[in-house]
Amino acid sequence: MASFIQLLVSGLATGAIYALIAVGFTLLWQTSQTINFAQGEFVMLPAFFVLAAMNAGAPFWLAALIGISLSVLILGILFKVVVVDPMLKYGVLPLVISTIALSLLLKESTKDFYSSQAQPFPALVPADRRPCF
Amino acid sequence: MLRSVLFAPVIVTSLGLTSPVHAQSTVYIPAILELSGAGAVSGTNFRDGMLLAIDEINAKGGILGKKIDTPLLDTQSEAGTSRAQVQKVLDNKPYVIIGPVFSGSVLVDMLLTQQAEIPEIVGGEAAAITQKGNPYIFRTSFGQQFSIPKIANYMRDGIKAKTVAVLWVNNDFGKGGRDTFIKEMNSRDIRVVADISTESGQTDFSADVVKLKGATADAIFVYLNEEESARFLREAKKQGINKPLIGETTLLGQKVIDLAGEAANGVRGHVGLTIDAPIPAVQEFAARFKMRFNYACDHNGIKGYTAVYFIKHVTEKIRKFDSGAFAEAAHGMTITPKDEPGILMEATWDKNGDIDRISFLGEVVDGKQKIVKTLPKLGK
Repeated sequence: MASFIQLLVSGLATGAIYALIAVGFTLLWQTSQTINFAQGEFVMLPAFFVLAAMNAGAPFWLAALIGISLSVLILGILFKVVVVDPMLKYGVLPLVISTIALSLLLKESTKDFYSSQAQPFPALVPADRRPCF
Repeated sequence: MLRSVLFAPVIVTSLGLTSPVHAQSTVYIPAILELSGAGAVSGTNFRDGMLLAIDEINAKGGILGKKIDTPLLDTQSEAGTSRAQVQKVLDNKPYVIIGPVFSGSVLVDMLLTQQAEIPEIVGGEAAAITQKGNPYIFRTSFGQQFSIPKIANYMRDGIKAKTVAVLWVNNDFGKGGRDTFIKEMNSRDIRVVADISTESGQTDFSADVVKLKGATADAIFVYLNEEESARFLREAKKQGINKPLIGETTLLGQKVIDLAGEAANGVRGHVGLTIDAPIPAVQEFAARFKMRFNYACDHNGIKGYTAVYFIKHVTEKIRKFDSGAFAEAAHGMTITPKDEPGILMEATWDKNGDIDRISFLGEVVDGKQKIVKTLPKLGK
């Protein structure tokens, strides 16, 4: 029984992450009829902003605020001005293809300017065990 | 007049009248490594160790008066991409090729390099790499056929385990390790009660940990790559696994300790290469590496560093840049730190290209790897 509950909770946690990613895709599709092939990188980049801010000495709450602000600026405003607005007049397909290029740019830039290695991230909740039953 | 001045260099160059000074003053030794993807930790550590060695050697004039020219090519941790990169560099006639680290990529690449008769110095550990009769393949890492028996002895004599579970990654590295481990367990009458495979790049280990908890083994042998090892250790701690977790070098590596945090404490195993070795040359290397790259390297950094000094020493012995002569001279060669300080520890390469040197038993205590015993070379 304990194993079943453990698997259920772990499965729900993993499923919730996939659901969040799906919500991102769905939101974009419903609002603009566009698929963003850089969606994965849109999830990756804010994490690296927060990590860089924490490595520069900022506490987590401040690093999170910095990450959110930079994400809004780069993935929101800059993305619209530099990618979406110029491409939209040519139709949806060129815009979708440009997100493929954006995906490569974001991935390779992070690799070159930060690191391609996995990085430790601080736990947001204590890692102690909490027996329920 | 201006047009002639502009066109003159083009004409001169196209007639081949420029002297290829750059080409003659360098030796082409490309590196094909995992710089992204699931193997990025291994490949970037290896690369940085290699770059440190190259800079040191080039600062002293290079090898036989030629600076080392090492372009870096990324395999993206994919065997197919690795093969394409090797094909690309072979067109430019390298002297020796360095890398890759992932055994799957090595097994694919070595078919090409053997055909081209170009030596390849690799970081792969799968036993199969040196069992195919390829005279051009050399390792700077222990093969599984040497390291796994040492762990098996530790399981039998140190842990006194009667039953074990094995968790392995489903790639050439993991499969080779798992096969060798089960063979060694059978020969020591230790029963394997769980045999669990996982995928490269896997992020969720909760189901695997549940299976391990249900297996009631005396000890658990974990044979994964770096990132997966860290994720597994975190999940194992979360679910309260209290059996000894035993690994081979990777599980106790610095990067895994950094990623897994407190979850790495208590892990034990055989360590082929480590910056925590009680050897002054290794510790000095670790300090130079940390100063240059601002992080503590794992065993892959040492593999990359010693690979370059291995090439330097063999080349200086044969006194020419001859790939065939390199391969012939390297087999059976023993290099001591007295002959070549960059080799860090005495090492011997056998007729198959496998390396023999001292190794260690270690344990992770308070976030640091602690060496508890030094094991002698097998050849002694």
